[in-house]
Amino acid sequence: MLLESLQEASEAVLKAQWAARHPRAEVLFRSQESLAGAESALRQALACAAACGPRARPAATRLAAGILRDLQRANRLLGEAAAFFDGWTLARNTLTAGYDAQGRPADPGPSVRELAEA
Amino acid sequence: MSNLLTSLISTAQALGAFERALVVSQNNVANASTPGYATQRILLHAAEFDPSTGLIGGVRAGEIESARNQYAEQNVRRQRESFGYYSQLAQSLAAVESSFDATGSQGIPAALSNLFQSFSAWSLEPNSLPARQRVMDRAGELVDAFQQMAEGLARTMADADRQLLQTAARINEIGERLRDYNAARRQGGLHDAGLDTKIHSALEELSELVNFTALTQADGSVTVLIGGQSPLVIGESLFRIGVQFDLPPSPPPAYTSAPAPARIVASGGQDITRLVSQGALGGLLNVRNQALPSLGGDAFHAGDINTLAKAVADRVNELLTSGRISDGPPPVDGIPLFLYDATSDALTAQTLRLNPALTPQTLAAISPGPPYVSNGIPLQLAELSDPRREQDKAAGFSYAEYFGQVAGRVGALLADARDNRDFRSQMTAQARDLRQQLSGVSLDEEAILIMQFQRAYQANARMLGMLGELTEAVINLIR
Repeated sequence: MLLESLQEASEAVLKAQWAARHPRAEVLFRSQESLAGAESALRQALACAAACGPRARPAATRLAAGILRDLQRANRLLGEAAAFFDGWTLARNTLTAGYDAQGRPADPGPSVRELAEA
Repeated sequence: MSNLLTSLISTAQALGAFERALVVSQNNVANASTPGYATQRILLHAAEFDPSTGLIGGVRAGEIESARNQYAEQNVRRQRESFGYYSQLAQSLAAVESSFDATGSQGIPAALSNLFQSFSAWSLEPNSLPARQRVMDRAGELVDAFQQMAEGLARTMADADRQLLQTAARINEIGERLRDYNAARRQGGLHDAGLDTKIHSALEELSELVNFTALTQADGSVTVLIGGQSPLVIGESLFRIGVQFDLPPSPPPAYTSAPAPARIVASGGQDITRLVSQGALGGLLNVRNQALPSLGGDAFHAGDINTLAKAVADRVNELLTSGRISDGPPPVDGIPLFLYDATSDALTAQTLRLNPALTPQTLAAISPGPPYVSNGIPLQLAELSDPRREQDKAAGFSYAEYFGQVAGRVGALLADARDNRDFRSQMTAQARDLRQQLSGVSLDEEAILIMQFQRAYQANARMLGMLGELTEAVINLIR
């Protein structure tokens, strides 16, 4: 039961990782279903982990370590996408509004935006 | 008059802007089926109108979308640079790893184990000629194993040299193409989207080979600077890079007869090796100048395999020469089993050989002591397999453990390179997706897109964090 639950969680996490490679809002919102599935499978795995026999332990540990690695990858992918958008937002602000008195990218504010896009 | 002039300038600017919009539409239609072509849009901005301060108003073509395209392209290139680096590293390290047998059933670990067993058998029958012959045979096999390892590493180094030259040639070839595209740009192709696609495609191809900065000039030409500093292409000029395998002027080499490191040189002969950190060229430089020398040695590194060969040979020789072949009279002192080129620690494995003056009969078995032990030397030699004394170890490890550490390091480097290669491949796919997402999107649409992404990101990041904690809890329970 433990191995089946971990396998199920692993497949769901891989789907979330795929979604993080295509970081569009609609894809990411859809992938929350997979993540919810992974949560349920992991809770089930947690419930039967204590009763896990010694023979299943190596395979279960390998599976769980794989899940952890895939979760970290999905997290890093998402983080990179967020950094991409943050970076562009900063660059765009400096293109439209320059820098503030402290030398930081200025907030364009609504009036400058209107000017840029009117 | 000034108002009339202002009006004329404003009209001319607007006409220019609308002309550019028309060109963009034409490009989109003409390139509808061009592979890799991203739809372009032109954004028209209202310019500020205040004649008293010289602001003439009207409409001008926007620069923001163009900057966004550059930003997205640069992100794809950055990911490909990293992918190219790890991909090359994984490929080259796989060749290195094949020289190391992880099971210990062949190569150096097996030869070491067999030699120590022959010492043990000799200690039981110190005067047995077959037992002495076995020692000689096993020592010969160890010499072969070290030489084969050294030859294998040298072959991998020669492969890396060849690949370095090929990669530099490919970089120069892409540079030629970019130079030609720049020329086409200057000859009126400023708004040619097909040319745009070719330039971006060439830059993307280049990014898998080397790290660089691409700057778009006012005339539309692209300047390519390797490592952000050394020019490869400026306008219609190409500055070819080259690869040299000679010693740098400084620092002085530790081992002059060993191979020199590879150096990347600019067209003017300047050493730009330190600027190359990513792409296949960066990966090859890492393997050629770091990973391989740390194992097989070069002008600046002794190499772990040479260190091990020297440690084994020196200790065995030390024990044999401390013993006696016979008590005489006169007593005959032991002679060394191994010889090697002592002028360079980076060539020990390659030059290791059996002492031709030694025969099974002249292997020294007697330890003169005190206490005198007739089989003392083979007994001490047999202890090398499970050493307790520091002088029987290499850097604190038994010889077999030392080799295992080296093999383990290669394995870990390879696993890390493969893991990073796979991840960077995903990152490249993501960067391409992000580029496509923003292509041809208005600033309003972009703002909505980013806002929606941020919401989805926060929700997913929370879930991923929680799932990570759950997985760790499972691991802790079953470990």
